[in-house]
Amino acid sequence: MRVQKRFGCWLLCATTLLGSSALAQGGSASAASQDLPDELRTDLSALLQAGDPVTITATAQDREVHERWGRPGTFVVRRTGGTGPVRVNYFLGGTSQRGVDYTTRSGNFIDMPSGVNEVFVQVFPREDRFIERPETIGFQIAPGTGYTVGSPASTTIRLNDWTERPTEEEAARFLIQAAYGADRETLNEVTRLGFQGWLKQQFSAPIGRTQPYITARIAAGLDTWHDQTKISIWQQVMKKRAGSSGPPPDALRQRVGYSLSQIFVVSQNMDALLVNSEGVANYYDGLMEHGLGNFRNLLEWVTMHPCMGMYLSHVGNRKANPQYNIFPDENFAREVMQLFTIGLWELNQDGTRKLVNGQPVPTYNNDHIRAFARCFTGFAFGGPNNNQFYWPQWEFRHPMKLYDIEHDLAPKTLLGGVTTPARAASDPDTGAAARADVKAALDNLFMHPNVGPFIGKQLIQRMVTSNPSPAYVSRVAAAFNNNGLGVRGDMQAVVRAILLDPEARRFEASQSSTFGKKREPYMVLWNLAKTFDAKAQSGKWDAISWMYDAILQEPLQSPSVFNFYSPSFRPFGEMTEQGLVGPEFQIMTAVTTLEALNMSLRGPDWGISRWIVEPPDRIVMALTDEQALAHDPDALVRSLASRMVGAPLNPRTFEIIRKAIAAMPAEGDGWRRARTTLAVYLTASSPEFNILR
Amino acid sequence: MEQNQPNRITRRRFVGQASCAAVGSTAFFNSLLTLMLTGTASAHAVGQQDDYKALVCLFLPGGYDSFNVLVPSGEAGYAEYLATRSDVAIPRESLLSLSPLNSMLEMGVHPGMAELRTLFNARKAAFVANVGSLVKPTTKQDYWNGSGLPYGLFSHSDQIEQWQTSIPDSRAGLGWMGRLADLLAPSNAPSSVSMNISVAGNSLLQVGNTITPYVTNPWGAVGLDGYRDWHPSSGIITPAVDNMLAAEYQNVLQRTYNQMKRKSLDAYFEFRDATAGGLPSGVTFPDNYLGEQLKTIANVIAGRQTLGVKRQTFYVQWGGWDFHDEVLVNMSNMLPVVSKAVNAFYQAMVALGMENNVTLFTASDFGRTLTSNGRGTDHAWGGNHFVVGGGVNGGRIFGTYPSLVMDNPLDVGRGSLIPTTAVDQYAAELALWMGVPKSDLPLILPNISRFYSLTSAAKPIGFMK
Repeated sequence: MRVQKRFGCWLLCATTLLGSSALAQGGSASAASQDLPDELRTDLSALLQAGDPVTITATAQDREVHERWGRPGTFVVRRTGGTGPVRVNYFLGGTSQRGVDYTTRSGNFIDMPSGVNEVFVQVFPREDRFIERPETIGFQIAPGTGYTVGSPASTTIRLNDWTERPTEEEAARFLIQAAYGADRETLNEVTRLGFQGWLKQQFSAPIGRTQPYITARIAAGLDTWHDQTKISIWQQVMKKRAGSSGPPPDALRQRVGYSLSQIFVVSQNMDALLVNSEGVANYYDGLMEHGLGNFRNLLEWVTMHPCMGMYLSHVGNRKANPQYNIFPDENFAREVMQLFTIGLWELNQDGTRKLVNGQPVPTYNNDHIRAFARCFTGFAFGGPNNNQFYWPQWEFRHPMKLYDIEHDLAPKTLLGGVTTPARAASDPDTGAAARADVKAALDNLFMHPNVGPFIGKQLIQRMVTSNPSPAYVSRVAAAFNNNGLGVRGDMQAVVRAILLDPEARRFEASQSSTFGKKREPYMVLWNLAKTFDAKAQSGKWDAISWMYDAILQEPLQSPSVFNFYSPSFRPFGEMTEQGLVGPEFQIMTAVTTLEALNMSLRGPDWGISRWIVEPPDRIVMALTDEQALAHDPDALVRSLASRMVGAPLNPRTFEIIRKAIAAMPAEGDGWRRARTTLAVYLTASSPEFNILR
Repeated sequence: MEQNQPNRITRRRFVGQASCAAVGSTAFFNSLLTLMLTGTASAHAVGQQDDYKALVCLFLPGGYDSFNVLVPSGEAGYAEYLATRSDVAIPRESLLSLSPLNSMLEMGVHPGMAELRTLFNARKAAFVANVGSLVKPTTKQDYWNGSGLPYGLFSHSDQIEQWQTSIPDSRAGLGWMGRLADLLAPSNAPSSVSMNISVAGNSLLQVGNTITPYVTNPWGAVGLDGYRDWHPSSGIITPAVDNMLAAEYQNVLQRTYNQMKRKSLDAYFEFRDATAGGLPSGVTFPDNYLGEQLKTIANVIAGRQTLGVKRQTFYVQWGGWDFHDEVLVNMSNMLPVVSKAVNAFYQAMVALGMENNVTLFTASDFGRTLTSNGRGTDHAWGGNHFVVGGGVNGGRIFGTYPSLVMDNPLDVGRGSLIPTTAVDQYAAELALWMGVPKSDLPLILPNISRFYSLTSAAKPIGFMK
């Protein structure tokens, strides 16, 4: 409700645009029919004389539309017989008022061009302040020249009032952005609690940690290779509420932590981490814990963690000793700036680059890298068994320890001219001097105005859209800078700002031709598994291992510190020409594209896995609810679109999938499952599914 | 229906192919350095090539013990070898002697590599000794000071990555064959199939700024299940997929997705059709995984005109060579597989008339320690490699075959030898043969001038004609 009031004005402005802008988006056929050249229009009646008798019927792709979620409803004008152009007359009626309760194309006829068998009439609900009770929009084919009116000749779409609770489609869309897809259980939670309420619930949900599973494996004498972290994350992602009184699963935290693992990258493709899944899980759990905590703590967690120390080589980092040609390792110093906090260029709050004389301004230079590298000296493995810098045991489950004996104690000049004083080594060596320098370095980075837009924009890209407007980035950065209570770096405020922003939530915003993001290939697996309640008879998730080579993505398995893809990757062609980025397109190759789709066809029968896995470990999508709709292709497509896509399909796509299902047998062994499997597959291969909007 | 599943592979089979998990990984970097390259790469693309040339990288993952592949067989040399290798030494009498044209050294190859010896003596194969990843020419003192060393020395993942990027002082790079293809791909006819083809998964080696490898495997390229295939619903799926691809979408990302998917499907059919012709009768390959992989590559080369290509690279990977245990037995079992399959591939090229146009070379994570750990050998640095083809300056041993005496100036411990030839030089020689102008070598191998003067009249190593 608060959102509603806050952006009321913006909404009204947008609503007035609906009639024209959104209508043009209503599918190629209706757009094409409106754009028929005049000469063709005048010839229509002559052409109508030719060909077979034409019968026209009316159906609706949608059952209902909502004032709250202003997506259009689509009537389908369908023909049988004949192929020539035909002009179809229709009436719009029902209890609602055209132009008041909804907008639509002008006129009372629609031209069906030659060779086209269905055209679409879309209605766009208008949001008003009145409580009216549900109304109806009736659509009826009227008699005309060159066709007979068949049956059904009329249909209706229900028009619902504005409600505080999100619609199912809206909630599904929200969960695709904020969690792992629209499973029934979480969908019900969101429609019951609303977006704000669900976020609040999630902020206090207990953390689903991934480390205990690995620790238990060690205790049982089992291996802890890199696939175990994936299995452990799947257990957490797929878990359900334990009984009605149990705490809710922490889907939001899991998703935020996973998103952060693509910014603060460590990877088990490095040998030292490959078999150390326990430490890597410990790191991941910290990302989840601090991902909804404060960014300053998150940064400290990342800096002090031995997995990062190993990955970016600051564990064992020593002060300079020029006699032996030893200098502090600059690896972590460089990446903590370039990737984890401020990026390469000075930014405005809206994420655009500051320009001086038309040129972007670098955030740091080599002197800064060297100064930070000197701050990050004196790190060694920690834990209860390590008490000295030299020759420690490898230990990945506890933060690294700092030692002054190998710390550079001299003054350093950080960003913005901030200096650290000359420090004295502690005796005995408690690492106090090193700790003071690390703190100074992290504070220096944390306070840099770039952090809000730099991190905020990347989280928007991970969860909502690849090309957020500067205003959206600015609103998220503002939440980072101040949560409303004067606190900087409150990640709950950041996540709330990202997910509740009108650009993330409003239907009109999603209809921009540049809005959206390509669904991550690994997220496709999670979304399918979650939406269709996938599980193995054995309860194990081992079958999901070894995905990386097929789809070039797997948690904690990035090929480099630069993640699976760059936040600024531009796909060749139209997107490059328009200056748009599409990070996830970077791993869309001739092979991964098809591999990922194949898994969605095989999922229901062969299970979600890289290779065929036999039961009881085969992870099978249930499809129980959907199979019940298999006799009604319209209802099946509608249901799948709502939960898998969370947004309307292009009416043309809807018809393509509907026809394919209708062409499948409606009898014989397993016909319901075969139809449903095909429907899931075709929906998963649609551009609507693969591009989140 | 189950037996019809085209991509049915068992996990065991996969694990059998890879030595360790790191091997299956691809890296996909996007460094500033390479972004800078993007602008210049296409501008430097070489002109129309009128002949076909291809490189085949045979990667032996895990670090193969190449000081038991190329072994000193003279009295003094063998004595040094035996003293250092002790219980992992091969008996002198079993070595297959070589007659190198450019060396007075008496050398032999592993007894399991008779076919390779024959190719060498017929001047169709050469060895390059003690190659490895280097940031710069490196001394033992540099090593002890930790100055200018590759990241993650002695680690599989790092050293695999560096053999493939040839930029061992950066964690962010692309593969050198990827950058090679950035330059050379414009000389091919426009095709949906990449210039770089892998029969062993996505390899970093073949990823460039504008190039990703086309990945296939011996039991078929990846198509879309149900699309123009055996699937019972294919007659329904195919038009539905086509219609969705043909539909117009108002959103730019949706349009881009559709275009890329269309291209992926086209690539699959183009590749499948180009390789359908098969090989000349009488060409046979060993009935094992490496043989099947190399046969697939031969098939693609046979279909080169259908694909309209002038330049191609191939990536094949076989075995797991990380023998900390039982190194002698395992090498005796596996090296014959390599020798026979490589020979079959060379003979297939002869049958296609392509033996002078295709060069196969080996690569591996690293060499192994000269000394034994009592059961096997451990991770080291430089190693010996071989190159096969009619374009090779064969019958010779290139580079510097190192002293095998313990604590010699290259030995940084346990007979782990500092490479005397950099991967950069090895790659540069191959890139020049593929037609890259010498002045463009730094685009492919940014560190090359640390090892080789671009104004030199000599070749980087000399193993290619």
